[in-house]
Amino acid sequence: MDAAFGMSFQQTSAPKLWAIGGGKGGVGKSFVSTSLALCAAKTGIRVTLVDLDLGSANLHTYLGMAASQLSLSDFIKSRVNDLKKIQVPTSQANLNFISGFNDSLDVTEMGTDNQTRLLKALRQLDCDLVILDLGAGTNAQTLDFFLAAERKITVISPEPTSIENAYRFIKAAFYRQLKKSEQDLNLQWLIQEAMDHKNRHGIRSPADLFQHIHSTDPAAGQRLLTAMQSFHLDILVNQVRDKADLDLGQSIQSVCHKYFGLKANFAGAISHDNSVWKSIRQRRIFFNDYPYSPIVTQFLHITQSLIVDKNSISQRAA
Amino acid sequence: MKSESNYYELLEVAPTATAAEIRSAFQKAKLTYSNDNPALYGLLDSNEADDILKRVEEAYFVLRDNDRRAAYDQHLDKSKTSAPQTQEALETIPSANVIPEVPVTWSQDNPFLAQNPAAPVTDSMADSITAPLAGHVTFASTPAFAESEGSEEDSDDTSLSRTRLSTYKRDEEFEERLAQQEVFDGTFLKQIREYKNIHLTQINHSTRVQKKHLEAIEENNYTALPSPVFVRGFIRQIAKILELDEKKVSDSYMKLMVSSLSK
Repeated sequence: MDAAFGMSFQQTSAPKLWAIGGGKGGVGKSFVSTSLALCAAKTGIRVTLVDLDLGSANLHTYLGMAASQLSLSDFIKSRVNDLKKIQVPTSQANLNFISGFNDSLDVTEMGTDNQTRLLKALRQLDCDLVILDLGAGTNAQTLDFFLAAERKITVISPEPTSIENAYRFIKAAFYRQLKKSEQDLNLQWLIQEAMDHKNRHGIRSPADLFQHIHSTDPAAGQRLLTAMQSFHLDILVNQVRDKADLDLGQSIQSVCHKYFGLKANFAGAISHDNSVWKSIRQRRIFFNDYPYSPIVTQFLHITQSLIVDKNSISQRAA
Repeated sequence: MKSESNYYELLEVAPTATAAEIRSAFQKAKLTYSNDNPALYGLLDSNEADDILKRVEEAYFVLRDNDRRAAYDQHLDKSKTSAPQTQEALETIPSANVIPEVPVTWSQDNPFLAQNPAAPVTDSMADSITAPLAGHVTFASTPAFAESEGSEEDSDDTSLSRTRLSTYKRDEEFEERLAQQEVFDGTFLKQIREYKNIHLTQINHSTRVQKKHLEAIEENNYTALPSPVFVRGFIRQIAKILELDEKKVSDSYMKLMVSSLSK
């Protein structure tokens, strides 16, 4: 582990957010969130891992921990006003954990005010990186947390159902971001006109829409494109079994680029390994039990490649 | 779909990419936009994927050849200095010194892809293009100016029809026969293929069905073919390329095959 990589930083700004989403349950979002957090922490970066899979919060299991006494429920219901009181240390140095809801409150019941309050509080945590493990589905709250993050990591497993749901999730997030951008830039009328006549204009995808707006009003098109460039996806393919699965990541990257007209990044692929479920079943940290698994190396590479982009982690000077 | 401003963006390579990088990018794109790739599932339908594939093939055809690439680069440099490289710009800005007065269009009339729909695709030509393009590509050997003019005229010629892989002269009599035909044996499939100006190699590249099997199908040489379950798949793919009713053609061919083998 390259601890020097992380140790060479010193915090000077609010922590950055990485959101792990993907639409479908069971593709390994929680395992990926935990693994990225462990790897980043190993490199000396101070990480807080947050369980935002509010419908079925169980990230503590991946960390080999019991459910916390305090959770995000207490924050949302204002029983606790400081996230620091909720976060707990883990067995891994540099890694703290914030438990998801442990009662019946669902993410959709959170409300916009609480969502804003929570995001603000996450930015005020005393750490360098906050990793959000999002739940399945495309409800507005989940999408907003995804869009608020500097790194938008989509986890896909190589099954058609996962791919279909991932695209549904990406599309939903994309259109939510587009809606926000068109309001911010006052371009509703232009987009509305384009979409009202989309067949006549030959608009079949967001990329076509950008192109049409650019040809109608180049300055507005450029502004919209610039605003939408924050929608930069990282794609991670989990449970890869063969070469075809491995190629899938690059294919999805290309398809996203051509369909959405925006850059996507194939962050990497993680092999399928039966040891993962064994360690989860035993409620133990996979990385501690199987440090020589190829998965560990794969996650370290991916984490480092995601950290290298300075905008994705708090800016710290040597 | 995104109409990239130039062939390099389409293949997702840098303008400084080496020949090997361009080949590799082309192979990746071919893999990505093949209809059976799960990466398309839920986002692009087969027509959209075919459309991208066609443009990718077009890009590779230009960039794989040093002369064509140099001419294209020259054209890009020129257009860069005068306007942004949008598709519209490429369509309206005259090409560099290759074609000084003819509008450059993106696809069929692109000067780098000047075509002569009337000419057949030769073996060597089809073989030389890993992913075949529509019609007979003559850019390297024919003055581009004349070819482009020809293409523009041809594109207005209502007697011409297109398939995904070719352009051909429409013969109403043959079309009538095609519409009424119920029996599709190898000989007739060959006639249709030749009528539609598609070379066997193009089908081979597009379907990955081995050429020896394609030949055996057209020769009704059933004993040289694999088991019927595979042949049905081959026939459906061929029918799709020839723009025929896949079920009707495969049912007919399989009936003939099974009947012949059971004798």
